[in-house]
Amino acid sequence: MIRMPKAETARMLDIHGWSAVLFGLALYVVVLTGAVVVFAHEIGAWSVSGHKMDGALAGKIDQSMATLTEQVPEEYRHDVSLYQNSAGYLIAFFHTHEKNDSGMLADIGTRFVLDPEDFSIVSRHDGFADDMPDITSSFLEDFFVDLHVRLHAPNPIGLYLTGLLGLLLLVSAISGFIMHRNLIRDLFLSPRGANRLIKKRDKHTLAGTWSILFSIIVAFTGAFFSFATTLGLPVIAITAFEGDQQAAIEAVLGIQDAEDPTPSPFVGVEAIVSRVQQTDAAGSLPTFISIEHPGRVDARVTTFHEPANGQLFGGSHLFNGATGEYLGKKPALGQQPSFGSDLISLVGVFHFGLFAGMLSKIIWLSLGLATCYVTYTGLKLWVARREQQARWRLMGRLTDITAYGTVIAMNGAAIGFLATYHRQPDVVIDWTINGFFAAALVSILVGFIRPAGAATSQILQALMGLSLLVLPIARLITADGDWSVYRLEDNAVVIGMDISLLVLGALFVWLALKATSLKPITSMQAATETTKGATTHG
Amino acid sequence: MRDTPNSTRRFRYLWSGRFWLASLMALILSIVIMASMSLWLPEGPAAVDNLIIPLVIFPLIWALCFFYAVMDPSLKRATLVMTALLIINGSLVAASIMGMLS
Repeated sequence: MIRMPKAETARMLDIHGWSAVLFGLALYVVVLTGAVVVFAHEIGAWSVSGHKMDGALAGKIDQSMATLTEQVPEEYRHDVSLYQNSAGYLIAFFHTHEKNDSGMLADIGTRFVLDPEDFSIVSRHDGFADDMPDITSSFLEDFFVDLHVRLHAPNPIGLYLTGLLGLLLLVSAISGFIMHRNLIRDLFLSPRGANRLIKKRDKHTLAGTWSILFSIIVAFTGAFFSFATTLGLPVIAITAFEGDQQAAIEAVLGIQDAEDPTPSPFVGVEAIVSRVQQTDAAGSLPTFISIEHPGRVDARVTTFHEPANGQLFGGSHLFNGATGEYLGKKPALGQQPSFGSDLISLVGVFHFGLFAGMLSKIIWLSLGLATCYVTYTGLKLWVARREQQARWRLMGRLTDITAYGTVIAMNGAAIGFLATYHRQPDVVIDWTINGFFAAALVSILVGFIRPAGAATSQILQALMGLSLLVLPIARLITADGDWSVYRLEDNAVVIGMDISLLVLGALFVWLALKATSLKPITSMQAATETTKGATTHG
Repeated sequence: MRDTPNSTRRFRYLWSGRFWLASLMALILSIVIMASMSLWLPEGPAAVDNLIIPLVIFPLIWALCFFYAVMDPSLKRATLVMTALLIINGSLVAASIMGMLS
């Protein structure tokens, strides 16, 4: 603990408590969804019962790309993005850059979704990228990511909101760190069983201590991601580039070569992919390919790769698109390696928990859930101390509804997706969204119709457990194939997700049932116990 | 500007100088510091360090401004320091926007 005068300590305590009370529920939603989308790709693959053929970018793609190019308006052939989504479909986006209705430069072009096995066209859409309908095969994953990134609010409002919540988490975590009395001792705190409320507060302290560093890291990096393009880049463009955001972006990305529109045949994706897989280049299959000016002498191809074994950062590699010549490894930003480029890569690695493969992702999920638990128990303890006032009892209800209801609503979205993806693909998006809102409504109704108290929390907890149990069952009923097929097709992630959901669901139902068998705690008991706890713990 | 920690008024924080210092002033100051950093930080070999570093550390700059405003026992000193920083960095940014640095 940093020793501070009494007035400053009281001020810090006020900030820590009130920031959580005012914005804690929104923060809970962002942190929970953030913890879940650490496994976004796995969720994407699970939601469609396993990705289709892997490694489509290494296939015989050139003929199909040439055919597609002929179907695309001339002005959209300026650049091409190529990648495989987590469901396995190949996305080819032929595009250029034009000002949209807001006067901002945006990608406009033709987007094809292709079957990875024969490169046949699954769907085609034209227009601004932001206006195109979502790709159904990755919609569930995208829905959860969007909930985390911008709470489904329109840009840039959504990013400002999550950015502010990131700053708020930073304030809560740093103020908690400053006020923490026994940081090391509390890492090994054993929750005392004297009474339920003190036990709960000890658990709150324990989870908070373990997740405090994580909270500071994700709050800091998350606020950066939200504000970098919506606030930081425009401000720096005004300051250093006379307001020219495009010039600022080009300076950051390192666009250097003068354009040369002289026609020249494109060397093809196959040659580039084959070359980049050699050990003196990336030595791996790219996850994303960006082609600039195909069919011109100044064509450039950049391939993006996941981190190799033992490496912290993924890499990108540059090729001459006219000759196929390997031009070397490309830093994330700029034309040469730099501290700034490494710094931004590091921010990504730490925000997404990518520093130690699957292990770090599991750790990030666990710490994210621990942060949610800290938020939930913190709010419940705050409410328990003020339960005599009606507005705080309402806050208690809202806390339960948000804590369990967010999970129930996400599960509702997943059930809506699973129910329609294989059988009625035209309505997948509607059913996913409707599933989310229907499940949220059920949580709200249960939370408000029932009398406030522990029993309502337990019902919501049981509902959450049941909704988790329904997910793998719904997936097995609606999809073809069984676990043995997924194992053979290198889709073990589906089996892993099914088992995890079953275990988690059963655990929450069991916890809810176990809790109902205990004597419910009364309001007055809670207030008395909290007061006692404050004197013995603090 | 007065601190009114014992006031019983509703929304009393709106009348507290420290509230405005830690909220609006901290936000404006952190944005202005971020902008001015892009002018005086070294560019580095790839000529991006002066643009990227301020973007990345913006949340940290804001947190420093916020906690300084909250923790300095003297509200008067905190106001003076933050105003001085705002004027120095703001002047640099204004000079750049008006083309006086090119």
